[in-house]
Amino acid sequence: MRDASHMESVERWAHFIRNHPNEWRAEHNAFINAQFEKHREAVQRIKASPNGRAKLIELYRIKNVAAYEDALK
Amino acid sequence: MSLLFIASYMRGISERNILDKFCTEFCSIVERHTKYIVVSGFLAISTGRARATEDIDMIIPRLTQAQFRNLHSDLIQNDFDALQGTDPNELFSYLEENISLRYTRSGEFLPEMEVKFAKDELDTEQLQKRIKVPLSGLDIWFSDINTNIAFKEHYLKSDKDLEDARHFRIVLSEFVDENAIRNVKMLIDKYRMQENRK
Repeated sequence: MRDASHMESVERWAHFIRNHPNEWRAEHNAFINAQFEKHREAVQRIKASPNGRAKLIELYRIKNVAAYEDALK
Repeated sequence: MSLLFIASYMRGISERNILDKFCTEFCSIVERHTKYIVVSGFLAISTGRARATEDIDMIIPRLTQAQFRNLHSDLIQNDFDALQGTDPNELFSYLEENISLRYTRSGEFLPEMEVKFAKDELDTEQLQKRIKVPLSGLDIWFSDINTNIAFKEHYLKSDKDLEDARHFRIVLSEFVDENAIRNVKMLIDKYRMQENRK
């Protein structure tokens, strides 16, 4: 269970969106894109680790391995 | 909807993030075959909620096997793949068992689109009441705000979901209707809570 300050920060950001309709999006897009960039970097590190390919197949529950072969290499 | 109205709130391509782009491209293909709604987390994120997600949830009406085969084939031709397999008959059987199909861009693990069939009156009603949300800046059909709030406050109830609901109540306050939320909560009690007790 998170403490009340977490909900307060959610509310502060929501009010910022309401009050600054032309400002929030650039910051938000950078935040979202950064998560996927971090994910791609993490995938590369997992791939390079022992049994990396098997870990990724298990992690993403990939049954259709052939379609993801390039990404697993 | 007039072109001027669309242009007034649609975001340019350069203003879209990775999730926006993925979701918009996927939805444009699904739309050629069936109605759909995007539900839950992605609605929160596309209206500004600052949190992560790996998947976007989509509900579609129950299709025939032939209809699904056409949809799946169109997705494959447009560089999407299903993580669970290639055989459309097998994938259709997952949907029939109310198991989500997980599609990604070919050769990428994330983001995922989790597609599932409408499973009860609640889902069917959400499909009928679908909306576009100007604040998202996206040409995507979403389930309505009050239903999202009701599910998050009354059914899902994790910290993340309660925060999403609070976010909706502030950024989309003009859509919030307490009577509508109460009605959906009653429907959740009728359809989902009973199902959980089985």
